[in-house]
Amino acid sequence: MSRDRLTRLELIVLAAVLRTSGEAYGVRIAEEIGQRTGRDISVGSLYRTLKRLEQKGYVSSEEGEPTPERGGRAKTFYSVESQGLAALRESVLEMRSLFAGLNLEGHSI
Amino acid sequence: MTDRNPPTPERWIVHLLAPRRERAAIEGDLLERYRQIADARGRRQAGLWYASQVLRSIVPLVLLSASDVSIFRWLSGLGTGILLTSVFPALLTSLVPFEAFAQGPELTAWYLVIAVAAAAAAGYVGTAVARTSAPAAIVGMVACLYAPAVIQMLGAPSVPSSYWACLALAVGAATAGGVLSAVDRFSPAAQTPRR
Repeated sequence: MSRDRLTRLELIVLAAVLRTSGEAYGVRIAEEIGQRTGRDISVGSLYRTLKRLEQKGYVSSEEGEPTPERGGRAKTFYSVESQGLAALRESVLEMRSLFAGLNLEGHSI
Repeated sequence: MTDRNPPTPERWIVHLLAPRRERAAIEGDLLERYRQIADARGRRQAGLWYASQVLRSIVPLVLLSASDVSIFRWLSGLGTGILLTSVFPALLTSLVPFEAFAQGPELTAWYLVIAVAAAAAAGYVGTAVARTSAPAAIVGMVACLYAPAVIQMLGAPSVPSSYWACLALAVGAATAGGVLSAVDRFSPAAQTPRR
């Protein structure tokens, strides 16, 4: 089945949401991306990407309780839907297939 | 007590640009992270981090805001804002009492007071009407619409250009004040439940 291709940023955010499953809200997702990839993603880019993923049906969101350390503002928790999981798997398989048997040591990247 | 909030101008930029649906989450995330950094590395570092986040988020947040509502609603809100804010620069230009300005400061002061009040009202009403669309776009539009009026006034006879500079500054500040009041009044994001 053909589905929307994930952009690189969408792929990263979707994987981070999956990795932080159960506690995937903005700060946590950004931290995970920073730790895993070294990227310091801006809050605007993060939420724009999450919105696109939500519109594609790859993630869903749910509002948590307001907390004092956030000035009484609630967290929005994200979780990966089955379609998102399938898209992620498809992208990973593509990458594996693309790089299988390729020796990158001798090439300057 | 130490202030544990980020600088006000940056907070306002985020408040103004973030779409209503995501605003509480975005502001909350930024505040939470700001406080974490302030506790660990000091307020100066936290302030730099916050400013960098805001600067880098301007374009994505504007795009996010634009995608948050239907194109028809966005355009109708923008159109309403343009219409309302067009009226004020037109009046500002056509009703200027050039001769009175040259006679003394009293009438100038009155004109200034009225212009500032009208500008604040125009900003407030324009943004209130277009609140579901793109308040940030309205702010930009207001600024652009004032430019022709002010440029036209610069060529006015017997009026020092410093008058116009002060007027433009006061009117711009008043409009921004009106816009921000309307955003704050009509978009209480923290209390807006998600659907």
